[in-house]
Amino acid sequence: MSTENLAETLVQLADTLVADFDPVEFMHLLADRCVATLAVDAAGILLVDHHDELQVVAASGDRARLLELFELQHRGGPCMQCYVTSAPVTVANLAGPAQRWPEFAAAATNAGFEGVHALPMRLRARTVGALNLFTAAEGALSKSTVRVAQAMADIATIGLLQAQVISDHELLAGQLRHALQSRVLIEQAKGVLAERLQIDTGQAFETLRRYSRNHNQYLSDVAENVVAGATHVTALTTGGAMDPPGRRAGR
Amino acid sequence: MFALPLRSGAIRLGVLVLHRTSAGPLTWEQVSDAQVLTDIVMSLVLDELAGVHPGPEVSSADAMPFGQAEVHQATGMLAVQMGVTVDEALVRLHAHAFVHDHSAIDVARDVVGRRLRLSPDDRPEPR
Repeated sequence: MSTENLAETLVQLADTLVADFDPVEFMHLLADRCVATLAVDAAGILLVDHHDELQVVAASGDRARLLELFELQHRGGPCMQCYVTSAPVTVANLAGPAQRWPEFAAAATNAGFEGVHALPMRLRARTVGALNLFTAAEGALSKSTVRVAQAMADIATIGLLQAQVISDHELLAGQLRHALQSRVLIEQAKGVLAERLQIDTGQAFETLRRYSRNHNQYLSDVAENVVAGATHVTALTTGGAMDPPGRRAGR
Repeated sequence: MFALPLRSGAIRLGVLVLHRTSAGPLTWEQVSDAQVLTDIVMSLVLDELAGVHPGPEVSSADAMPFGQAEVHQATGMLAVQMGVTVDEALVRLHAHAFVHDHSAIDVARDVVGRRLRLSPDDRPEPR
């Protein structure tokens, strides 16, 4: 983990946390920056829903195989253990014998990962989800990496819930629900685009994200318009190359 | 009075409104319970629209088993294939699963994996 990498991460996160904040894009940015900064190979942000099950709201890369590893943890696994105990959980050797979560461990090693780490996403007394990290190599994360990873989990929670003082349960539930619904919207839009353009859902997602950045629109708004048919799909495929995320000017 | 949206992404079926005679906020448990209620209501509405009549042995744990990414992606793909709104696409997916005795997630995976396409003419027989 280099200080240069960390500085770049802080600049990009600060950029998106100021005016015209897009919480959905922020989650994806954070997941990507976790991979770059923590020198892990994949990252995902999971939130608990009203059934007390964990749902992924953003992941680095967004490959279908990675999403399967998150879905396997709906009701059990390192992230659920982390959520229930509000403490970090590590499995340093997913290929070893006597796995606590054998089905998950098998799927993870098939996907090329030998280490998994979960950090709790906490808002004062309440844990609302987990930051899930995967490494191709086995082994635990260093103490300094764990410190920075926990800080990124905390930043994810603050960015997502946008509140320093939420004592109103309805308000907190509403914001969690909004984050989860944004994810549903994006999945629906991925399906619409994948079918219209005959591409896979991963490419469909990158297309949505590129359009959102190039046109200064919230990712969830782009998704809503795609599903409603209000944004013609050819508009999504033309236009400039992918811009790096930066300060959004005069929205 | 508390209002909860009956919503799945771009699919908006309505609002569940709860009234209480005493004033004050809901507890965390009450908020969670209310949200579980919205799932059940949405599931019942979908059953009705899809012409699905599951037997009494179906448990409430099966209510709204639509939480996975593939189901939402399949809904989007089917909306394009059948030329309908995502609301209608979800109803058709639900009906197709019931008629062919598959789970919604299995049908969704077949759609996303491009092993299954539905056309505008694909309508289940009314039961």
